[in-house]
Amino acid sequence: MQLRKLFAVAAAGVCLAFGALAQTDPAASSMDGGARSPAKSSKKKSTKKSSKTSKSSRSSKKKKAKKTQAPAQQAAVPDLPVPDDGEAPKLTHEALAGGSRGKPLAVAAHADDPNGVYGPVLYVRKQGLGAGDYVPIRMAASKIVPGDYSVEVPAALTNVEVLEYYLEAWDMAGNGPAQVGTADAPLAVPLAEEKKAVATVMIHPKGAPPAITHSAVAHAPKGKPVEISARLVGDTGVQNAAVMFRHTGEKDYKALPMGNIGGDDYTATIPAAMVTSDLEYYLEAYDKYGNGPARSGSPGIPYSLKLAEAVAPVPAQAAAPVASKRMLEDESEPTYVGLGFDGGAPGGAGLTLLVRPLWWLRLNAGLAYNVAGFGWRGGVSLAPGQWTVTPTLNLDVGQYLSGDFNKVVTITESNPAVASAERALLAKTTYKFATAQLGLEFGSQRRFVFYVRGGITYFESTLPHAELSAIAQSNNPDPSNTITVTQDVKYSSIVPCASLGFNIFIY
Amino acid sequence: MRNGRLIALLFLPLLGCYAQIEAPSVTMTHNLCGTTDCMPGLGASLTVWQVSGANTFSVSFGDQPLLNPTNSVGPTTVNTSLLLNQGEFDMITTGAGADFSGVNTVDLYAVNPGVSTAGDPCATPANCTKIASFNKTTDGAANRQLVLKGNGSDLAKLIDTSTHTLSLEIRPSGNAPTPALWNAQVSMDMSLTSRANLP
Repeated sequence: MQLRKLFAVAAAGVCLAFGALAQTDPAASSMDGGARSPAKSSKKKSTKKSSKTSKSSRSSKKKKAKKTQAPAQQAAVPDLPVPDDGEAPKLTHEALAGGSRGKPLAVAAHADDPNGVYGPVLYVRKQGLGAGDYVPIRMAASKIVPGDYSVEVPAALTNVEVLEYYLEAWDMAGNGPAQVGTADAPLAVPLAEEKKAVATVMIHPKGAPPAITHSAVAHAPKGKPVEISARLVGDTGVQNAAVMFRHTGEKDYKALPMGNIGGDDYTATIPAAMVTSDLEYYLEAYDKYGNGPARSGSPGIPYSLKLAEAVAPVPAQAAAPVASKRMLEDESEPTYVGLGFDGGAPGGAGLTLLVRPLWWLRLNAGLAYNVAGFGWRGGVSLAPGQWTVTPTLNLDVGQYLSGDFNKVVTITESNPAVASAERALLAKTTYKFATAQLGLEFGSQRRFVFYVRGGITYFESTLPHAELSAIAQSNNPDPSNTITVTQDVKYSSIVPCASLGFNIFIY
Repeated sequence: MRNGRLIALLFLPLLGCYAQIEAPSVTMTHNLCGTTDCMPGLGASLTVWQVSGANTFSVSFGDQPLLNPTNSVGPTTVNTSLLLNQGEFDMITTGAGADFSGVNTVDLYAVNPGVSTAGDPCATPANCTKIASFNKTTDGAANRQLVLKGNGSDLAKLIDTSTHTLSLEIRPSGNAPTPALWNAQVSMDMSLTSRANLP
């Protein structure tokens, strides 16, 4: 179990590293630029001009798209590619007319600036609270429309009659903030109780949807499984966590349940068969009372996952440490050769070489040992998936070439002749076997799995007639008769069997 | 409910579990006279044999659990069958006329468990079960070896469970070999199968 835990932590770490390195989100990659804005906060200028909410500014967003992308792409570079224009970003927002109480509230805005945009930041508070009670929430950039930003106010903050908010944004040179509303004159949005149908009355106890922390997976190799991980934290539990994904251009999302891999960490793997063209996805989850969904991304603004034919050079990866890059490659590439070790009853122990010619087919061959002697064994395993917990069908055959069962059997026969014959019989007991087992494998099919199996096994052994004749004659109470076993005796049985072991794929 | 059925289905193969021993050929041999010729010959009628009492003998198998038709071992029951493949008479005595060419028929009987073996138990047919036979007309004349064909009787059911013995009686017809006294070895070739179904 320690190995399992270690594996889970390592896998989560690799996935998080992958997400972080693959992040090309302009907003996310502008963190360095954003950090500089307080240094220039003394340059605060009036933003009244830019806080106008005219729709006409939205019509020019396509023309300015190139300008807004430029600083974001070079955010990691200390110097601005465009001279400081001294202007705050243009920030536009359509005021919200209303919302549902206790439900996430989506807020969208548009912001652009030749020097790139930091933020925007949404500040929300319950109507009537003080100026210091605003809760800041950073808005996320759209993957589709440059300059569009959105965020969902968590349901936990919308259990009020009226929510007040305002928006602020800076450019990467620190100019700003551009504002829509202000702390003293916020926009107000009334939140109404959601009408409930009589037939579907549900009373939710207190609680709130879980908070989702997720590093977007932006790139992946085509035709390989894509693992998507997130941290889901909720005071009232987590349930129905899922990755909702679709191919770019499709309308409907497919749901892929996320499994808990320990603590608050959840993961799901998009099967290789589905990774055929660029994907879009978002995450959602509920608490155990059905509150939610909490989302990372949304159906309208999903994360974009670009696929590459080979291991494509990802800009963020190019600057990553070599060791981290190596780990990413290791985790995504298939493995073909490994070693397996298992033990069980009544089959004994085995050390086998594993070869995986197809992702769902595994061959094994190696040594078998059962205390009494050694033999060989080989078999096939079929795994219908590459999941954290994967069911398998396992078929094995083998033969013990030597076997001295006097090591494990105590002979209680008082007749010395019979005891001697029995010892001679046990000293060379060999047998063949064939086993069919169903198993569950825990871990990564690419690297390390621990498994338990159960099934039935067929044994066949031939007992030499000479020793059996000696035993029979020794037991014969009538000296006028002679009892002879003239042919070898066959012993066969089908019995339940169980085993456990682990596989390590090394190449 | 579906899960319950699925689990039941997965455990279904366990109903086929068993353990089995097959001994295709176990031979028991018995000399009619020990080491000295004792059977009356001179071509006399073989009915004399009945009178001599040498036509009955017992085979003791000892207290072997596997030789009981059914035997409980833990949660399982071991079922055993001991089938007679064939019986055989091999002439030991040497010399002219020391053969079975004058024998017309030989029937080998097993005395049913619980029946007294004193005298000629198979004189009453209900006391015995025929397990093998030889007929000169259909099998051809025998020489120094006479083979009796088994009829598939299960000897395990004919072994007395208290004495662990199988009592046999030979009922021949025809003429005895020509030596004054003769001896032969009787052998029975049997196949043993013991099977325990698990659980």
